[in-house]
Amino acid sequence: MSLLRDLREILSTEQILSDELDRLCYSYDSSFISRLHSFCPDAVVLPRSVEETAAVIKYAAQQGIPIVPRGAGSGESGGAVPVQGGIVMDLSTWKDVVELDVANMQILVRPGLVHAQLNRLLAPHGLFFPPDPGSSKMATIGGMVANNSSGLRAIKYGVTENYVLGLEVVLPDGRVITTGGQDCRAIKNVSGLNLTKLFVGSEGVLGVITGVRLRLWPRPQSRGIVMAAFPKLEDAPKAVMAVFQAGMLPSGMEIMDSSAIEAVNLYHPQLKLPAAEAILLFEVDGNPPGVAWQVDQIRTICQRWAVEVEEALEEERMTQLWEGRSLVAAAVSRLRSEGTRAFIGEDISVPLSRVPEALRGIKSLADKHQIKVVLFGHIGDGNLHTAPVIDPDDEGEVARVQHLADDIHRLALKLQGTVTGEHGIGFVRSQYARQEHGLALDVMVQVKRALDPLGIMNPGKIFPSPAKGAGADGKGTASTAQ
Amino acid sequence: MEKELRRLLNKCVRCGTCRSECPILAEVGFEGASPRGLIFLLQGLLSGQVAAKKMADRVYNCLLCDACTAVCPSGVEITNLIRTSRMELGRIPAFGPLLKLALNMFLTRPTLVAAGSRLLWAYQRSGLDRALRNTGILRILPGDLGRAEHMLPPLSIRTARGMLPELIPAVGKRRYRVGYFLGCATNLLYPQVAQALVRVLAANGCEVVIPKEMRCCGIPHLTYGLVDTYAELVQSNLQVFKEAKVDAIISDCASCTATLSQMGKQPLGCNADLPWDEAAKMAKKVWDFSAFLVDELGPNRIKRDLAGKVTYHDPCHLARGVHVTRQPRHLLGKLGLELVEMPNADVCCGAAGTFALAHYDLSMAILKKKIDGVGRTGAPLVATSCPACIMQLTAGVKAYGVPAKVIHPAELAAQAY
Ligand SMILES: Cc1cc2nc3c(=O)[nH]c(=O)nc-3n(C[C@H](O)[C@H](O)[C@H](O)COP(=O)(O)OP(=O)(O)OC[C@H]3O[C@@H](n4cnc5c(N)ncnc54)[C@H](O)[C@@H]3O)c2cc1C
Ligand code: SF4
Ligand code: SF4
Repeated sequence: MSLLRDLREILSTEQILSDELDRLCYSYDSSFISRLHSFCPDAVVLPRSVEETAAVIKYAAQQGIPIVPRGAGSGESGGAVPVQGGIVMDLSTWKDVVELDVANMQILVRPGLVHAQLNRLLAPHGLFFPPDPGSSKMATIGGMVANNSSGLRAIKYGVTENYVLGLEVVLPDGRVITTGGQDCRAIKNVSGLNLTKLFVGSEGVLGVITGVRLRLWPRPQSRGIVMAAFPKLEDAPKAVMAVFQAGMLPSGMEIMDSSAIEAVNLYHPQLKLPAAEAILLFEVDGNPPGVAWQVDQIRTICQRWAVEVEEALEEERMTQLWEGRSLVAAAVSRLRSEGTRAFIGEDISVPLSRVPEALRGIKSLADKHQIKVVLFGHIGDGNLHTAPVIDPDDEGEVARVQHLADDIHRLALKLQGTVTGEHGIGFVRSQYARQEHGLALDVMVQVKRALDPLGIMNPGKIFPSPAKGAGADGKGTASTAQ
Repeated sequence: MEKELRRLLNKCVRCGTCRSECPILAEVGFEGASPRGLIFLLQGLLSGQVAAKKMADRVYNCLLCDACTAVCPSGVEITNLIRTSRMELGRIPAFGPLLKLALNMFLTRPTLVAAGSRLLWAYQRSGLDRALRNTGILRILPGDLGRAEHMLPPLSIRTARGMLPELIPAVGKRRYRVGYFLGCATNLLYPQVAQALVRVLAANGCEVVIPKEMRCCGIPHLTYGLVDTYAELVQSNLQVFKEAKVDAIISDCASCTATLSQMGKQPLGCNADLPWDEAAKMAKKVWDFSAFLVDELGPNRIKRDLAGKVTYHDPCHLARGVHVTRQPRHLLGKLGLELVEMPNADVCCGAAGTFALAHYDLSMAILKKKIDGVGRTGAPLVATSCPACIMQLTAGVKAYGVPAKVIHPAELAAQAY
């Protein structure tokens, strides 16, 4: 085992995992497709410094061994799964705060810091990092940057990329760069090509992120939640549009269909959500009188269609409602005794005006394929999550759910949307890249080749393999980056 | 059974939520040590991808603290699955057949337990313990038993059972007839807790029975997957409490409380023919001491206020097993103490039954975090409702030099009555 022997020259023994069972535990993330295969890495390393990371990458480059960066493995697209073997680099144990600069409202952290922990440590300083993924409890900042994650507050606060001031990245040849200016702490900065934005959302195919400088925002003084229950699913998007038209921008606008409501009630029985075809959760934040005013306005608007509207203003109730919604993605498994939630076809995003069409479309596709699906999502930005609940031991269902996912992705493109609003391409959605990006895909491939000519960084992700590269419409040149 | 196991394991959607809570993962860091990793490997075990002999040790790298199960959105019964797999794998690392024998023979019989403890007491009193510690001979004990030996508190020669009569009358008018489930640890290690508890209950109008025939609650057996012995214990305890005709069953031990509260639930892989329904009814009568005092009795006749700061550690089995977190805090406040919360009050202290014996370093690392939290409160008292936690925390404050006394809420309550 020369690989292990070589790695031991670079890292201490406890930072290298070679035991088969330990390695197997890196063959999955939450994506359903990774459940159907066994992608076992040859070794797993747990670096905790830039030097260690760079040394491992230099070695891998010499040997031509794939490197797969990984945070918490909560990704839903197989991004952290070693589809071509190689070395998985688990960065979740490297989670220091290098520097909290309160005066300049920014923080420099290591990639393994977990989102919820970051916000917990910022709270006493009156600051926060606004993007709020449902996976806040587990997702790492490195994973969020690599996936350009967002979540429940994207409608008002945007996505991770809006907060990244600069990155420290180890490139596929082992060089270490700092983007956004080597010593820069300015919040506004248009100097040079925007490499920061290139690496945000690059899903680990361009390098390993070892440091993240995040811009922080003042924490709002107060918040409030309006929960509205609609007897008809189609009415929910109407209420969303009406709130926008009334000149308001809530910090969150979330939808859950009847099954999602049931699942949340099973997860948190004390919440006692009303049965309805759809529930909308609106979160508003800001100063207390502003919050009160908006809550009141939104309630009045919703009452046009809703049968029940609740103003939740107590912290405990709000936290529970938010957590219930955040984790409904996994809670839907509770709906069926022999079933489990499959993370597949789960992340389309469509223009606001086409949300009703998308909701209807997904439901009819699910009927066509005879798969039970649960719908929820960030309706304020058109990002709809479909959660199929299947029996993973039933081969028929396993096949049908994959066809369903394919159809949902195609529906999204037809509606001028995208196959992924926030979870990324990974290795489960690359077949749509040509149709979605046309010639721009070739430029992406060029960028990848320029930075990673050997193709060792997270191979098999984002870019379609040559066979799939032609895309659904058959146009454009077949391309591959590996 | 295999089908049922597969169904339960399939429930895991690999979301990773459980990663956020596991004290073991927080220490060691790699996925294989996480609850999600364990569930994945158990799936592999069931499908034949993972060899049983490689799994045997891994299923013991868990505190069974339930922190993961409590947050799992998908409803995976992680801890139960780990317990069941222990039974299936049927091997007890580090201790081997000896502990198994002890669990099957020894802990199930009250008189044998007491006899054993008296031997231990004699060992401590003779000074032999110090002598052995000095020679380092303890190091050759299996696993980490040798190094963990210092965690054992000084035993008292008399057990609680020996000090207390079988029936204690209520002071004043009788409001309830309660059974006191005198657990093994309190009986042997902390008889003063038992005395205090009985005094407070009696002062609040309870007639207290401590049935002689009561046996272990069965948690060690469940922990090591000995479900048949467990079922035997349930059956016998059920009978004992039926005969005692009590309104409620009170326990001062978080683990006993949680186990008895589940006594109506047939463990996976157990085929014993028991009146589980009846056991379920009995289980409804089980109360933690503080919960009973606060929610049912209303701690009224307090004679004098205590003063000073106290912090409270939530035992895993109380906080997540039976969701009792509010009542002990309320009680401490009622007694006149000022409660100062420690950070992560509900994180496992690392004791977890015999876990500390087999994984000494890991257990101490988890304990250190806990004790750092205690230290930050500046409170001279740490209250907790579980003898195993008392033992672990006491060893912790000593090892890490935090000047705090660890005490059961019942003892504090007794000072006020
Ligand atoms: C229940 C649930 C709810 C979710 N809700 C949301 C949501 O609301 N919004 C949302 O956007 N996502 C959501 N997600 C998806 C997922 O949690 C996010 O994509 C998250 O940011 C991934 O972080 P991670 O640490 O788990 O990364 P991983 O899954 O480990 O990795 C994700 C990708 O990033 C790469 N990567 C990781 N670390 C680095 C690094 N340091 N350098 C370079 N590349 C790296 C990996 O190679 C991989 O391609 C949810 C997931 C679950 C299971
Ligand atoms: S929280 Fe539950 S569903 Fe999610 S990974 Fe852990 S065990 Fe699996
Ligand atoms: S029971 Fe506790 S120690 Fe065991 S896996 Fe769950 S969280 Fe970790």
